[in-house]
Amino acid sequence: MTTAMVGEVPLESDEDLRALGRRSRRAERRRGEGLWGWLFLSPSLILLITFVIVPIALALYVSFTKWNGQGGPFSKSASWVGLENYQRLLTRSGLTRKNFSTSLRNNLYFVLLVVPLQTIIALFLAIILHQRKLKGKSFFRTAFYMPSISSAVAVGMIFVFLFASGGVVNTVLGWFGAKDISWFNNGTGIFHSFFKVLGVDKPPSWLASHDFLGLSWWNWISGPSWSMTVIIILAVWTTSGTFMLMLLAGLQNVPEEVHEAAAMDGAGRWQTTRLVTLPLLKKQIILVVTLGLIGTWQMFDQIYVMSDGAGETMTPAYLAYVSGMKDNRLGSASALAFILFGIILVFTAVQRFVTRDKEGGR
Amino acid sequence: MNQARLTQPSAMVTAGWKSRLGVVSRYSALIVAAVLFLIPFYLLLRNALSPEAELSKRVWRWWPGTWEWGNFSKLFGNDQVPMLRGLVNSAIVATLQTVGVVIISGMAGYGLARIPYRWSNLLMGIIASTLLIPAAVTFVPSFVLMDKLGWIGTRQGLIVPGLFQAFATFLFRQFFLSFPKEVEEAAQIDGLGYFGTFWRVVAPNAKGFTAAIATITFIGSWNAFLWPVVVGRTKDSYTVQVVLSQFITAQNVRYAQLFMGALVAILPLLLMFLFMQRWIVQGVERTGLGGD
Repeated sequence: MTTAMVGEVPLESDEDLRALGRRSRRAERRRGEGLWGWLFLSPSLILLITFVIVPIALALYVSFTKWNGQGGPFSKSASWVGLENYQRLLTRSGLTRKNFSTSLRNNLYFVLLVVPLQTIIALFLAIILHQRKLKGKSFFRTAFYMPSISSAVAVGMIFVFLFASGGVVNTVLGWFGAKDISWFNNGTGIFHSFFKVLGVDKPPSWLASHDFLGLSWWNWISGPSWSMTVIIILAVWTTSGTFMLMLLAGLQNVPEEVHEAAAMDGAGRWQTTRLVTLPLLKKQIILVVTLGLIGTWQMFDQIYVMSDGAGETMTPAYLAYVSGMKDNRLGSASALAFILFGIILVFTAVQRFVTRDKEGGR
Repeated sequence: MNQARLTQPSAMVTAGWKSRLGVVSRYSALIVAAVLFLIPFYLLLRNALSPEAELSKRVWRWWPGTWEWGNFSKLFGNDQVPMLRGLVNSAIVATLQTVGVVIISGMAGYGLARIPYRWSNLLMGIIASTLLIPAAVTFVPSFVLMDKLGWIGTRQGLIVPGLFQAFATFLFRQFFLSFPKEVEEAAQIDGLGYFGTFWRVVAPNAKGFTAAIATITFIGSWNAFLWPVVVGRTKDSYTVQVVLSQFITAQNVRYAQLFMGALVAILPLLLMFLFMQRWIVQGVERTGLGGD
C-alpha cells in the first residue's frame, strides 16, 4: 500500500524522498503499534472476559432459575423459573420481599448519611490541611489516612469494643448524663426513638396502613437502627481519609494566588471557599461522591464482622451472600444482586445528571 | 490622605488579630480531629497489650494497670488460631497479586493508549462500567467457576480473579496517553522492538507511577475480605483477615489475643505506609486526578 503510493507521487528531490520515507515508516509503525497494542491488551481482555463478563452472563441466567448450587447451573438441578425470583423480591408479598425491602431501607439510610458526611469531613480536612505554612502537615495527613489502610475486620473489632455496653463511647456519653445505650442488636430506628421521645410511640394509622415493597411507610421512616448508626460512624471514620487525599490532590491545582487574590478583593474565608475553592474542586468532589455511592451500596465486610445482619443492619449485598452461600438459593441471590446493580446505576445516573455542567463546562 | 494614614495601621492590627485567631482555630480543629481519628488505634494498642482479665472488667480504664507484652507470643503460640499461616498467605497473595496487577494493567494501559482511539474509548467504557457492578453479582458464578477449575481453597483461586483491575487499567492508560511519543519513536529508530521499547524505555519512566499503583493495590489485596471468605476455605488459603474473622466467632475468645491479632494484621500496612508514604499519597492523589 505504502510503496504503491510512492509510485504515484511525483518526487522532486532527495529532500522529498527522505520525508516520504519517514512518513511511510511512521505509518508502518502505527499499524504495527496497533497490533502490539492488542497483544499488550490481551491478558487483561482474557481476564475480563473470564472473570467478569462470563460470570455476569452466568449470573443473569441463574437469576431466572431455581438452583441450589448442586451440579452445574445448566444441569437438571437448576430449573428455569422465568421472572419468579424477581417477583418474589419485588411484587409478591412474603418473607423474601420483606427481608429484601428491609435490607434496602437499611442500606438507603447508610448511603444517605455516609456519603454526605464523609464528603463534607474530607473537604473540611483537605481545606484546612491545604495551607502552605501549616506545621505538622504530614503528621495530620497520616493520622487522617490511617483508618483507610486498616482492614474492615480489625476496624470492626475495635468499634464493637468502642460501643460495647460499659465501653468507651458509653462512658464518655455518661459524663454528659446519658444512660448506658445498647448499640448492638438494637434494631430500633433512631428516628423511631426520637418520635418516641416526642410521645409518638405507635404509628399513626395512615403510616401503618400504607406500604411500599411490603414494608409499611412507618417502617420506611424508621431511620438507621442504633446498630447501623455505629457502622455509619465507622464507615465515615474509615473512608474520609482517602477522600481527603483525593481532594487535597485537587487543591494542588488551585494556585495559592487565587486565594490571595480573593482575599485582596475582600472575600472572607467562607466566601473564598464557597466561591473559589469549591468550583475549582468540582471534578474531584464528583469523583468522591461517585466512589462513595458505589462503595456504600455494596456494604458487606463490616456487616459480616460486626453484626451478621442482626439489629437491622442487613444490607442487599450481605443478603445476597446469605441467600447464595448459606441458604443455597443461588437464583434468588443473583436476582437480588441484579436489582442492586440497577439501584447503583440509577443513583450514579441521577448524581451525574445533578452535577452535570450547566454552563457547558470548562 | 490623613484619614487613610490613620485607618491603615488599625486595619492591619485587626487583620493580624483575625489571622491569629484563624491559626488558633485551624490548629484546634486539626488536633480535635486527629484525636478522634487516632483514639481507636490507641485502644487497639491498649487492648492488645492488656492482661486478659483487664478487658472483661466492667469499669472502663483508659490506661491499663500493666502492659502485657506476652500477648504477642501467646497469640502465635495459640494453635487454634493459624495467625502465622494467615500472615504468610496474605503476604504471598498480596505480593503476587500486586506484581500481576501492575504488569497486566500496565500492559493493558499501554495497549489502550496505542490502539486506535475509537477502539480504545469503547473498551475503556466497558472496563470502567465494570466498576459499577457489585461484587454480589459476580461472586456466585465466579465461585462456580472456581469450583469447576478446582481452585476453591487454593492461592491461585484467591489471586487470579483479582488480576484484572479496572481502575488500575484506567489510570495506566491515562498515564501512557500523556507519555511523549517522540521518546518511543527515538527508541525504535535506535532499533528497539515494540516490546523492548516498552520494557526498556517506557516502563522505567513509569517507575514512580507504578510504585503508587502497586502500593494501593497491595493495600486493597491485603485487606480484601468478601472473596477470601468465599474462596479461602482451607488452611492453606486463609488470609489473615479470614483468620481474624474466624477468631471473633470462636468459642472462648481471648480478647487480648484477638486485639493483638488485629494489631498484627494492621501493622504491616502501617509500617509500609510510614516508609512509602510518598508513593501511597501520590497513588491516592493520582486516583483522585483520575477524574480528569
